[in-house]
Amino acid sequence: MMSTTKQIKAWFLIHKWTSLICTAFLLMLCLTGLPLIFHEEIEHMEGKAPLAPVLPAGTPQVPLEKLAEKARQHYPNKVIRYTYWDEHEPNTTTFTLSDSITSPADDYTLLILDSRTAQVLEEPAVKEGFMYIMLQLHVDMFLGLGGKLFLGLMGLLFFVAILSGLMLYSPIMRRFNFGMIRTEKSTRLKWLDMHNMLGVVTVIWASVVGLTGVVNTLAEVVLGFWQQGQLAEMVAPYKNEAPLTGQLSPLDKAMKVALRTAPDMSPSFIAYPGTPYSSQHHYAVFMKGNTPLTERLVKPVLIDAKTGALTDVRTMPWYVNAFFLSQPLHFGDYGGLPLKIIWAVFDLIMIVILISGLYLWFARYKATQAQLARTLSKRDSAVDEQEILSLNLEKTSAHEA
Amino acid sequence: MKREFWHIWTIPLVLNVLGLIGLIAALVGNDGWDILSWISLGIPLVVTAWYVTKPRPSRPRPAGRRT
Repeated sequence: MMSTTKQIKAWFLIHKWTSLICTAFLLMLCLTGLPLIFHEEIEHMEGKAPLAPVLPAGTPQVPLEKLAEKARQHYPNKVIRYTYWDEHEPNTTTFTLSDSITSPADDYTLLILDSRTAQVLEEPAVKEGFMYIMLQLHVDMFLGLGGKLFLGLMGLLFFVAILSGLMLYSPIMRRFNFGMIRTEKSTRLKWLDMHNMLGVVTVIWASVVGLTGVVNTLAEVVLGFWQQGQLAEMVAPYKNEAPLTGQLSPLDKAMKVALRTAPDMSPSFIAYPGTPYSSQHHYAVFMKGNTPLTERLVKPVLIDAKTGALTDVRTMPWYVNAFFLSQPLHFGDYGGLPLKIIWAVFDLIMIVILISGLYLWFARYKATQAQLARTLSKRDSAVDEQEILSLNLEKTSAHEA
Repeated sequence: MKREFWHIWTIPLVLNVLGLIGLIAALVGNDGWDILSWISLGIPLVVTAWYVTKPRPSRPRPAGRRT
């Protein structure tokens, strides 16, 4: 673990520059991420009771196709692209409708129906309000795919900053005990010590949330790989088929086949033919597992939309599974409210680390000048190795950000 | 050398390993696993809070060579 002065200098420079570039964006991500951790709780506080009314237990569900018909009647100029089931809203079925089957992904309207009465429960306004602004800032700063990938790059820089900060921790702490905070010397030293201590205890959390955030920015990339790979293989026999015309096979039949094909799973969502999650000729029913771990992993069941017969079912490739598994680790929504509170506390600590890092960078100039003056005045005296190291560390410390 | 390594890294390592256990535990299961995750992720926060709020001297001391 012995680092030479030169190595320390290099890590310091890496830490300084990666931090400087990503800090502003990371601050934005931490601030917007804070309310997002609690989005469910905030929505509940805003007075949203469970949508579906209480009906006698065992009230039968209406056929899916009837729900779809209702959705089409409600929006006669739109087409259904997806149907999904929100686990937080029991007894509801949600339809995603767009102007056309090939509309951009952000053109959509949601319609939530009661699965038992086909009554319209809500048409949630998804593109307004405080939480929408927080989410959009957090995901892509309203800049679309480019903004998203840019934030992914910032996440990578953040991770390099964590690693380089870790490399600086050891030479700085060599002669001190854990948790040492030099409150009596200067504000700069106090915040340097605070920055180092908070940084080192949050390494794992910050790395995991940072890197899973980076993985999340690759959603479109992951989808593209899956479309070109597994999905293309599954629907290869249909490559030269004529486009679908006329009446499609009812959704209920597709669902029945899917439930039979994956009996120990439950439906997550259905993609209609022609959407990015399916082929031109298939309903894709995505089935999810029933344990905390497997409910994140979906299995596509492709059903011929004309005949209603099973075409193929596969387990998703590793990179899609990795993508889905990285989501809870980023959101912190997989262990109840206490985990969310823990997430928020870590998030607040990150804000302190980011701001103190920035402060240390600002405070550095004065300290460097003072250090330089001291070094010059000492030039004639013999300077042993330990002293060079400690001088350098003073400088390193000053820059530590 | 070895002693120096453990002197610096023991507490950070223990806290981060606890954190990692906590991050994974809640992913594996519910109930008991969730509680395990709260505890093992909570310990680093409690320890940190203890060190941050620990009373410390605030008046300047006579200047001297740091050791």
